[in-house]
Amino acid sequence: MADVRCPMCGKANDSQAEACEFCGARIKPLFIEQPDAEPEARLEEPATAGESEAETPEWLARIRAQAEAKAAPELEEEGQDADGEEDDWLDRLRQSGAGEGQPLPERLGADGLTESAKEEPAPGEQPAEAADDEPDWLGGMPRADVGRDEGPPEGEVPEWLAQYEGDQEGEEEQQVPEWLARIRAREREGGEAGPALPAVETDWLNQLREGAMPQDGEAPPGEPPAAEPPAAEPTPAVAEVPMPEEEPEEQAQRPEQKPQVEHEPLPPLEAPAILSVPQEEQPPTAEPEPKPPAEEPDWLGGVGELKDETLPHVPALILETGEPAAPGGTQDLDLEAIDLPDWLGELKETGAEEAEKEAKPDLAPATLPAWLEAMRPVETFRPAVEIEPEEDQIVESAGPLAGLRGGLMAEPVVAMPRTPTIGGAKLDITERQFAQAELLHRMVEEEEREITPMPAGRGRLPLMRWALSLVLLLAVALPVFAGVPRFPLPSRLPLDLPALTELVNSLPTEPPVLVVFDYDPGYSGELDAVAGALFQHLVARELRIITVSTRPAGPPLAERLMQRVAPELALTNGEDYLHLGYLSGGPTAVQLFAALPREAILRGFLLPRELAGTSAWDSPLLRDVQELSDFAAVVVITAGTESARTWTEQARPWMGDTPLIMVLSMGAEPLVRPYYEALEPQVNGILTGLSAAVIYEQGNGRPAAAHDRWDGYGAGALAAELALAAGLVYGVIGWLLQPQRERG
Amino acid sequence: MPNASALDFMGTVAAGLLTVMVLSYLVRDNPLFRIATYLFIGVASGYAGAIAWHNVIRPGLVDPLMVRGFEGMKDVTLIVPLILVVLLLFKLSPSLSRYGTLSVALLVGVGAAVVVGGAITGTLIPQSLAAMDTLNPSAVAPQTGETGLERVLNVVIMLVGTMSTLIYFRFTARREPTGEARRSRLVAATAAVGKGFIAITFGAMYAGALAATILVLVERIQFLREVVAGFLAG
Repeated sequence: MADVRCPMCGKANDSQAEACEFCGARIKPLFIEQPDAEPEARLEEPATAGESEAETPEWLARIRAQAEAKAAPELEEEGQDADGEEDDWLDRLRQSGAGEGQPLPERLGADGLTESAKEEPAPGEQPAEAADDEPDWLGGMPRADVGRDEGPPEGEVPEWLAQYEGDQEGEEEQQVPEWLARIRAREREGGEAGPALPAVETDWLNQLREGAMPQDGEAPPGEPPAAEPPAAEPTPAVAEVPMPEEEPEEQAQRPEQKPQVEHEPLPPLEAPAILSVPQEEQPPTAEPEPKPPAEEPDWLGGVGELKDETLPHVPALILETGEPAAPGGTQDLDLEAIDLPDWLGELKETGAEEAEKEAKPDLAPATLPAWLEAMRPVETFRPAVEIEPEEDQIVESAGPLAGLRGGLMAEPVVAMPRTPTIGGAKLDITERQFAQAELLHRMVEEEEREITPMPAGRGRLPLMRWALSLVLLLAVALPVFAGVPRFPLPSRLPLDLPALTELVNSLPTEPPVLVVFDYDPGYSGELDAVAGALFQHLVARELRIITVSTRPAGPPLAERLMQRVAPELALTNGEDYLHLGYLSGGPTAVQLFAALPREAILRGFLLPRELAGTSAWDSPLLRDVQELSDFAAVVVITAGTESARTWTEQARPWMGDTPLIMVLSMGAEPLVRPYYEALEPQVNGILTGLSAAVIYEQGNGRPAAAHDRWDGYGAGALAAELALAAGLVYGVIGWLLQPQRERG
Repeated sequence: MPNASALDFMGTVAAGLLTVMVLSYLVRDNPLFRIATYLFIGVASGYAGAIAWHNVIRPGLVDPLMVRGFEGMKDVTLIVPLILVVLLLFKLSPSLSRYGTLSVALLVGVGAAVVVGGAITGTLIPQSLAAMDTLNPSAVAPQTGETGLERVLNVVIMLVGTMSTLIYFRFTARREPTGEARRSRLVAATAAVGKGFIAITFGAMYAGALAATILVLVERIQFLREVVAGFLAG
């Protein structure tokens, strides 16, 4: 394995070593890859590769053949001269460093970069840039930087450049930058000239300047297309400095381009490469123009600053092809006079657009085939991940991606709601269905709309309500206070009453009768009067009464009724009746009470003193009662159909042969009657209405509350019937007086 | 300590005033009516709470635990209701209300099962059988004792009323070529008869409610008369 000599200490090292094992200097130079040069290099490859020759136009092939034939001997000579010259100035540099008695690493910097020492072709000259911007260590090698800005030696100035400068000197004096003016001034004073370019390039370039483009298929002689890319960075200090480390590779790949890379002419600074290099000047395989410096991204600017600090002699941008930037004098070419192929014309027109696209590397919109476009789900996925700035991105803390920044987080995607993909197909609906859907939509919207409150205007006096109330009050109050009018007592016996009285008369006297008070105090005015007649009958038969209620206000109503039924009999609590109290739980409690009465009610209501601290079930009245069928009868006094149904449905199956009697409000009677009139009745007796109660009291021989209220009830019912009749007549007359079209 | 007669007198006077305050709604909505209603709601709620404590909670849960002490905590029939009651109390707090869901679910589930089961076995099946039995002309209603033509007429009316009412609540119809769903003439006529039966039923219920209301009003007027008579009697 061949050894590599350290450029700093000169000692031999292993060829694979990256740093000198003696002085620590870096042997393999750092290579800063130019991001912008990468796509350009790719674009150049088709032009430089041999496989693209088949696509080359005929005229261009002839040009290439002629140019290669002319340039081959010159390139060989130039390459030899360059190698010899490089060895020569490098040796001089080393001798200079050795003569000053300082080690090279100290003079070149700690990073060990040696490109500057190798690339400086003119030792002993002063640097063009101000020394204040350079580090101290760099100040120790002033002679090595002298020739950087002063161009090639005088004898190596190509003929074309000298002629070009002579022709354009007067015009460019006003445009060249200051540094270039200084260089030219030194050149005029006998300074060194730049490296010579191949003569063949000079020839065709001069022809281009003179507007002598080939006519009728004659292509201009010159370099191969790949050897003439425009300079990306028109920095003279960089462009004229070769990179020795890249030379072997580039020689192996493109040996004919090596001399051009080393001897690039100074490009103009005033005009960016993209503007200074006309499209007509480039061969058909010309590369796209590099971006102007002003459009460089920020990160590239930072690289440029870093490059200036650490690698002062490394070109900012050297294309892989090594093609120098076109001189500024090419702006004088008559672009309109050059006959370009069609494809090159299109390239010219789209050059600015391409440059803009490079500045904004947006991806071109993808084109989906029609069948794939039809299958694409519409709005089924809402992008939940947004690309955040790098400094805001989360660093992965666990897993195989630990330590990486900018990883896609799975949680937002999973957690974000998505439009369901199932059922996304459009429904095939008819116009009628659509109209119905619209109607439903409007109805929902109407429900959600808030109705503005009506302004509180001056309301009309409720004269009609006052009149009806006054009539009804008078009708009810007159019989009560004045005793007039008096209505005859009912004489027609209801069909249900004989069956009820017969049933009560058949009840055994030993077991008690369970009476359920399932009504609120508001109905006591009606139900007390109706149930009073039944209670009279029960008391007359000396049946003991046990009360219970599924409403909290039921037990007091039971006590009140027991006190009013037969005050002259002075019924005693605990002997003649007993209150089980409140049964909580609704229908469930009713079923539990029907199945296990002693488990459903634990204490009692208003228990007598002898039962204090005990349960009502300890009373002698309930001694033999273990279940619901042990009662002689179950009487339900209720004002609603729900309570009647509950006791019928939940308790009736547990009652056996024990009869179920309903004392109903007049409004609930129609819905309970089917249970009574069935062939297998679930309700064995019904008592409802004041007329039935009056007759019942008459049958008991004890006129009571039903009799007291009969006249008032009759007068009130008559007034209500008259009011209803009056309302009916009023409505009919109003309907008849309406126009025919408004009657509906 | 006031005697019982004085308490009865004061109670009677308060009841009379409250009755007048409620009847003042006939004029219009006024503060007296609202005071009476609020007072009634408050008293009813407080009384219901007291009844629930004295008749349900205390004898069913508190007293057994107090009497039996630590042994009572081992009784499943006591500890399970206690836990359910405590969980139900969490419903008072919006943040903790979810813990009371178990108790509420138990109440609702058991209640629904009891109601549905009772409706099937206590109403649906017996009433269906009763409707079919009414078609037997030889059967005699045990309660009403209807026989002969009266019963046949009653059965026919019941049958027509039942069928027409059911057809009235049948909302399916054949779609015509125009896309409009329309009942046939027979179904429409039967539904109209059912509509008449429904109207008669609701009318009977309304008449009963109106009669009950008049009866309640009469009772209140009689009460006021007694109050006035008591004042006049001194």
